[in-house]
Amino acid sequence: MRCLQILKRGVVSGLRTTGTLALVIVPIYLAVTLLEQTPVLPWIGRACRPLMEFMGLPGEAVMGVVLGNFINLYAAIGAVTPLHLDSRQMTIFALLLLVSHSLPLEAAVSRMAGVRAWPFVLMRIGGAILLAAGLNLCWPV
Amino acid sequence: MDGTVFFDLLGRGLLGAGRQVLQIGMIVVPLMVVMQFLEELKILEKVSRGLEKPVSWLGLSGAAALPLVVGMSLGLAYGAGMIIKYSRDGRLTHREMILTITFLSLNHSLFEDVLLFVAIGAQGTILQGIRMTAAIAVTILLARLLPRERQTPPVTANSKAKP
Repeated sequence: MRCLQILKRGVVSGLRTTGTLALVIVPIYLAVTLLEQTPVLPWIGRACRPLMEFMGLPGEAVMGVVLGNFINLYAAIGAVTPLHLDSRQMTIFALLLLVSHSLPLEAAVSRMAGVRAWPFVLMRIGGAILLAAGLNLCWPV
Repeated sequence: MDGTVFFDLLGRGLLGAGRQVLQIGMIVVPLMVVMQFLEELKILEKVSRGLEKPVSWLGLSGAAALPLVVGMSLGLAYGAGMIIKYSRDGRLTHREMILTITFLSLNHSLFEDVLLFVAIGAQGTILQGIRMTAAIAVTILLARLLPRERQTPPVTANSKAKP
């Protein structure tokens, strides 16, 4: 009986999380799909190519990186899936985002725990770029 | 762009986004069920007791094991909540708090975050292997750099938390 209650609470919490992420993913996915048809996305892609190429990613993926760092991982996923990256690129993108994401929110959490936030933010951004570039170098295409 | 093209594009976008949400929902719902069991059946407490020794290699006391396990499985906010509680209770020193948060800020929500990216094509073992190694390395390094505390805990550690 107790297990059934736990199961129920788990399903509710899972559905609630899925709802939250749908609210983020759907609009961003739509926006990027529409942007793909305009010169804006290719322009952003060209401008950011040098930085992203260093990590083995297409320039357009910078939108996922920015949204993921300012908002959350769901936003990053919404922005990157329309680009159809291959498995290697997606793994590098994921590493970049897993180490550094949702910075405003998570910095607030660290501050709550009583430590200064900016060293952590710097460590995460720096670490993410280093690790992603390193993985790109070590992983033959 | 004329009207039909726009609506065609919108339709395709909605379909793609919907598929994406469904794909992620299929991972998130079962995952949250597992998390609920881990939490309510006190399984995390049992796991963390087994981890007290490896945690000491990071330069931390056994008391840090449970906040670390909670943060790695349930998420940063849960881990941080527990760290705040523990440091108020005096179970973690200010130094241990910094080390624990350092580890967790690099490496948290192992299941949810990694599976989200696996769902869209990334390779989970590589991701988690690198993330875990980086977090362990940075924490050990920082433990060497941070001076050990004097026996009496500093009064300033919790200055913000005063009522």
